[in-house]
Amino acid sequence: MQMPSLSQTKVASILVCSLTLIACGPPDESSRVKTGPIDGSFIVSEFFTPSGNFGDGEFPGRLITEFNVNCKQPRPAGAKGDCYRFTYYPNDVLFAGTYWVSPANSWGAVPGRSVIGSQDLSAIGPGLRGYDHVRFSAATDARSLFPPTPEQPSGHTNINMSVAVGGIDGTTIMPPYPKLPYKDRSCNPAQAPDNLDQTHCSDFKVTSGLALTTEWQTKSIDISGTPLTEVIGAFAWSINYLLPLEGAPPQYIYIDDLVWE
Amino acid sequence: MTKFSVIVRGVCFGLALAASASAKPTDKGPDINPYECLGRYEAATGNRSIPQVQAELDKRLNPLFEGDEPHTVRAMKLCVVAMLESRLGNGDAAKHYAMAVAEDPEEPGYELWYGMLYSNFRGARGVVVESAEDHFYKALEKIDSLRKSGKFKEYHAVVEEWVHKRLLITYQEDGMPLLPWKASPQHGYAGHDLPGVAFSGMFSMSKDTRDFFRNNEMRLFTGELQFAQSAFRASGTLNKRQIYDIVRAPLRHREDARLRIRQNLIGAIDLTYGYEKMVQGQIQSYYQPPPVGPLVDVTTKEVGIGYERVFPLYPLFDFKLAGNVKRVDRLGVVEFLPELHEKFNLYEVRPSVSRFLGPDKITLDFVYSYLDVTDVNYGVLGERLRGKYIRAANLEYAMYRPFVLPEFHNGTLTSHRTPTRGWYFNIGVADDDDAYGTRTVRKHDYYVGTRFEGAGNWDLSLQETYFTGATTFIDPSNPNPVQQTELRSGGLRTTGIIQHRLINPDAIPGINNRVFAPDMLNIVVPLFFDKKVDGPNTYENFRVGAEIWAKFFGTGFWGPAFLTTVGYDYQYFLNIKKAEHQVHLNVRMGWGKL
Repeated sequence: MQMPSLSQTKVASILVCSLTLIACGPPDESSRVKTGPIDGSFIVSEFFTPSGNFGDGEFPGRLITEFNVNCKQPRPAGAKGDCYRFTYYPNDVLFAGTYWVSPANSWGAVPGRSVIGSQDLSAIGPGLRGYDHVRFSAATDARSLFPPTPEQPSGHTNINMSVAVGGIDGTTIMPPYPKLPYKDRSCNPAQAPDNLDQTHCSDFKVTSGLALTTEWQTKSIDISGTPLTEVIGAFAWSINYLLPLEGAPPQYIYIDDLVWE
Repeated sequence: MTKFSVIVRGVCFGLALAASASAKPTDKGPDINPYECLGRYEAATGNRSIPQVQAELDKRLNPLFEGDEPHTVRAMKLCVVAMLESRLGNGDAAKHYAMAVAEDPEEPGYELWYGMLYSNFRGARGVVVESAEDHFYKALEKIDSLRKSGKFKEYHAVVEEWVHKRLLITYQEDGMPLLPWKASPQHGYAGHDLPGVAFSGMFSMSKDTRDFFRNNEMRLFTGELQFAQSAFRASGTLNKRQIYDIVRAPLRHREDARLRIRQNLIGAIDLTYGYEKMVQGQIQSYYQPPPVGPLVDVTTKEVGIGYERVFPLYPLFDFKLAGNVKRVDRLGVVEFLPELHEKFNLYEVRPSVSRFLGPDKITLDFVYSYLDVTDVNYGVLGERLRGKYIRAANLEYAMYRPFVLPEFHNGTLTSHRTPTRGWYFNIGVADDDDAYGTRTVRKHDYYVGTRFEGAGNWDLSLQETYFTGATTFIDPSNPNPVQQTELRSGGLRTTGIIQHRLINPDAIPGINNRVFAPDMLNIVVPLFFDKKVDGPNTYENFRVGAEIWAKFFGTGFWGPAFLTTVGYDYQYFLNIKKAEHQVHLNVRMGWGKL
């Protein structure tokens, strides 16, 4: 049984509230979170939430996300942040994926998170800083691999996973969903130091991919040389399911050690 | 001979004796039926206004005694004075009852009246159990002594029966006694000091839009609609059928078991277990409310320990302290994660204070509940906080003075001064705040109401509640965060309740000899109307129903109280043209807060 996080402060607060009849309410929202830009390297799970399910993932029960439970063990050496297991039950959309977004469940309803990396980008613009890469580890397990068939006795088919950093654009959302005002973008104030507006910003998206195996693979996505202004989608994975749906095994995707550096 | 005739004869006999008393002060005096005290009290209060009752009291206090009246006569006079003081809310009532007991220490009837001061008049939200016990058990002890000494009179059997009835009421919330000392019918003084152990079982079942805690369903559905339509979920893409299906009346059932240990010095200590299930009632994903997405079950298990006691702190006030700590295991509430168990502690304290203001009574209740929902141990640092805070305060002013009410008599409208069971006015506020990371879902209720418990068998209630819902949050991406408000809604709920008492508990002061003794049977017609003030009007509705409330005592088997309610409600949501037929059933052996 998991014990509650009951600090001495909480106990004291409960006693004071009870004894003095002063009904204490929730703490002020601003005390719960550090606001403003993220400065330097960061662990993605501490600022972004894997809530942006898409494809089959939009439908309840087709894509299950587990945090810090049922992770692939052992975790990669020195892994930071949360570990995840995604279980995808292939269905008629035939693909699924997840975005790590900020704030949770945002597809551009509010601005993304400002980030300030440790990489010197003064060659692009005075005072600019950025990131070098996004690192992650990924794997699957044997249960996800298609069972043997007469045509393919070995039965094993690697899962080709696409990954992305950035790429959310609320302004291009298709009906029936209404358009949203914000997107991932990179702005270069050097182009217009006194007038940072849309005309000097560009959409930001970097993609890559890898074939998952049952062993951890660590990969870095290069985002160097890009000043980032608003980041909604810090990372995303997706897979296509191109095999017959009948008897399709669940697709287990393990993601770990997700870091911007 | 009926019990009534025993009382009447006793009263007449006592009056005659008192009138002719001429014994010396050191004399004990004649035996006086203690029901004479009640008779004199009723003679002094019947069809009288409060100032007239006060005048009757003043007359009896000045002088209190005349000449060399014997002790039993003095006791009678003191008892009448105390009873009048009880009616007037005078804090000297207890003192004069104590003097009456001291004047006639062998008479158990005065202990009965003294105990009834704490079970009928005093107390914050209920009987001052421990003080009432003091006197009821002394009465029983004296009755035993009278039996042994051969001084037991016919009217003492009525006193004994009334004491047993008052003890039944005193312990009615406790449930089935498991030990003999406090079990009905009690004998002697043993039940006062020895601890009682009682088992209470409660079963509730409903198919209703409203949960067992009577949370406002219009606010719930409106909040769910707004959340689902927000940019963080379905972004306004819900179809008509989804909006229609947000209104739902799932099957719910709840079972509660409680072991209550009661001891006079300590109060009541409860060990509780609760299990509740809602079948297919929780929306799993607000991206896709039903029928596109599924509904899931919610299961709650609770184990806890509680405490309750009334502290008589007169001349200041009576203070009731009730509270509990529970360990909760809840499954099915977290969006997207229907298999996630939330395990957390719940702390609740419910203090009440009350005191008389003249013949009227003012009561102030507080509720503070804190659900220390375990913060999530993963994800964004600022989004991990979880917690629920319920704070409520209610001020009630109860007018117990008799009112001059209109009545039809022989086809003519006349007026008649009528004692009532009270005309109550209350005002209150309740806050229910849920913290989810950087967001807080805030629900507030502000209400004012009145309840008239009539002189006859009709009670009427009317309450107006302004309820609001809103979400406040901080956008962490904003370098200059401000508290923002979204998903606002508000409405007015008008509540009317008409109640007719078929069996009036006030009319049954004693116990019949049946195995089951009916004590209350009410027909209740509740009416509700919800009107939007702020936000969407989608779920405006009216609701009307019929309920039967029944209470009876298991007088043939140690006296547990049973409380049963069964009802049907029809609810119609005007703007989506949806009707819901709702049923609910509650069976309780003993109970807690209702």
